[in-house]
Amino acid sequence: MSDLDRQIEQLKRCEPLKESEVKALCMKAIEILVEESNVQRVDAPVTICGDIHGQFYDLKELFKVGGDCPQTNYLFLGDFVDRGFYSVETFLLLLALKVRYPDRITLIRGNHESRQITQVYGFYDECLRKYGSVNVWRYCTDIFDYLSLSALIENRIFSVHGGLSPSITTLDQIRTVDRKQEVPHDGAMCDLLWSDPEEIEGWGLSPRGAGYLFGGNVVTTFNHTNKLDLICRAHQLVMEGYKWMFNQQVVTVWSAPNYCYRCGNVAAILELDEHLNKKFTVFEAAPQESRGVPSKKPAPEYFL
Amino acid sequence: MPVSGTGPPVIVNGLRQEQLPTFLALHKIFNLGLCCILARELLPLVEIGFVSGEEGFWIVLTAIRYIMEVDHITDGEGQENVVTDEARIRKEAGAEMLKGGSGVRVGGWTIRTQKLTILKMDEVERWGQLLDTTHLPEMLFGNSSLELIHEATGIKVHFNALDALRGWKKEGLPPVEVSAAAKWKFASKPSQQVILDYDYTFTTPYCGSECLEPCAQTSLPTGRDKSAFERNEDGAALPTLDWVECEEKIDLATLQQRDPILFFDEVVLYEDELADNGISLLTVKVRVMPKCWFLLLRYWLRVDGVMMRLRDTRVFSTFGADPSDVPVVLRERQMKEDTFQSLASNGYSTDAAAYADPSIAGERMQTKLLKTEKLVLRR
Repeated sequence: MSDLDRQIEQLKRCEPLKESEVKALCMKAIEILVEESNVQRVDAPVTICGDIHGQFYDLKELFKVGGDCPQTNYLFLGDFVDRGFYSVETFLLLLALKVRYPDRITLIRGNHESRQITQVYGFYDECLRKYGSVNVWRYCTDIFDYLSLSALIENRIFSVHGGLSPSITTLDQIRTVDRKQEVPHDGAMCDLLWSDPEEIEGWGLSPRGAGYLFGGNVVTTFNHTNKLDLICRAHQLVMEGYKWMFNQQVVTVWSAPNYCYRCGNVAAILELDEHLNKKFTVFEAAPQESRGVPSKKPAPEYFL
Repeated sequence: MPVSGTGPPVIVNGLRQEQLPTFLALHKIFNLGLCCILARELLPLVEIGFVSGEEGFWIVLTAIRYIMEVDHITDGEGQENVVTDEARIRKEAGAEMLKGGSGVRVGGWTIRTQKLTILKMDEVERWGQLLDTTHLPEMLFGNSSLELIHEATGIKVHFNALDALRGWKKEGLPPVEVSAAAKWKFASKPSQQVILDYDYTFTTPYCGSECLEPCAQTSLPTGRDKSAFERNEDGAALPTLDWVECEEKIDLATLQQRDPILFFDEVVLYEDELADNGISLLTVKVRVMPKCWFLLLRYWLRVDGVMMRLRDTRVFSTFGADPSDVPVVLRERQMKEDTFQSLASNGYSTDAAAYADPSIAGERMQTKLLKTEKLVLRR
């Protein structure tokens, strides 16, 4: 058994790798990822997965219902880390699979694959806690800069973490973005990772004063221009695991069941066969006893 | 790995004697009760970020190591001892647990929580119509609640997301701009652009709901929400419930006593991650002791790099000698708010990660409102 296969087995048991192993794995991953396009071509059949957010045991549940990699070809739409308890193990397992089977798993970048966001929402603290230093966080966030921004399945289905951008009308415009950087606060790259569909005409600006919202007619135009059937994205929690919008021109896929260990939502993956027939498989969180997390009952507190 | 000692280990509520110093250090940070806490339950608190910074880190690391050891022991005999302790304490207090452990009956009150999943798409749609909005918090625990019912009078104090969101709609604050907004103002914009302007922080003045429940012991009418000067068919005024500002204060001395906790729970009513620009969270937690109950409803908002808002409602009631007497229920409302800019000028950190804990953040924020009210039943 090769070192890499042994590391994959170890990660599947939710045991993190040594710091030196992480460093070596990241070096190998960069060599693969640097060659990928901003619009990475993906062949069908493929199984599309949305946000995971460090919910390692639920990712294992996902592989249980979707099949193991490399038998199943996977496309993950980003947000591997933050919020959940096992961002380190989750991201490293996916990355190790990527290095081991580069043509059978595609990882694209979510808005949480960023230095700034991970410092606030958990991944940074988790690395510090599990390794006693932030080196692993540094190696991983360096990898984030190499992750592709989107995927194109059989030239028909465009997949991205967030959504569309007003500064992008063609896929070629995405191809020219220089992605090897921290996610910027505005511009095309930011929009692809952050924007949301909304029931409006044209473009909308979020009440937060930053962040675009795109309406149904924007999608129709984009799909027409680029000869697409569908935009598949993640980024937003949906109770039923997936949600169609705009007359089935956009679908949101969410793959973190019982999000944050308390929402009680189901998760979904979208399985496309070689003819791009769609099948959603819905799954629930891993049973309590199979995860290393203590019971849900809150500890009594003498709060004031 | 369990530490093997000579003879049976001495367990103080899940901790061995020699582990107490670390636990006490943790306890100071977490402000957790010594009596009821089981060490294994510290882990989720650590994981959800109750502790941050280097200081906490080493203590937590040590604690996790202890938790692993203690877990091993409490799974055996220790756990049983704790359980029997709880049962004994409850018996002494004349308390009775409700079915499924979702509440307690004590001192003439029935206190119950309900915790269910976030609303499904069709329910969200229905709430949207009900509240006349197309935007609701992304995690809406619409069927979760806390209720406290005084059996003899039918006084019911309860907490739910729907009433809280009615408050949000009514207050209708203008949206807060996130830190990236300044940059976006100068960015080129699409020719046609809709600007949404609802308060995406879901800030609410909500401080609980109250009504009179039907009850056997008195001749009160069937439960309906308070409405002053309402009259029944005979023209007689119906009993009403009102909060009236008062001089009395919540008895902190009683609350600081480490009386055993008969029932504790925390219910999230809604939460929104503000698209990763911070957090908006409405929760209510309750603790019931042998002599009183106390709850904290907390609306907590942090818009990273921009501002924080904390709206706390504390409600407290001591059990009377006669449970059929009208209970004294006090409510303290406190509103705090501050910008990151003003925190910086006071020399505090402006790092969003430093404000994971609203209690710590609250100590640094300006108070906008503080008042105490008493629940008055007029018959």
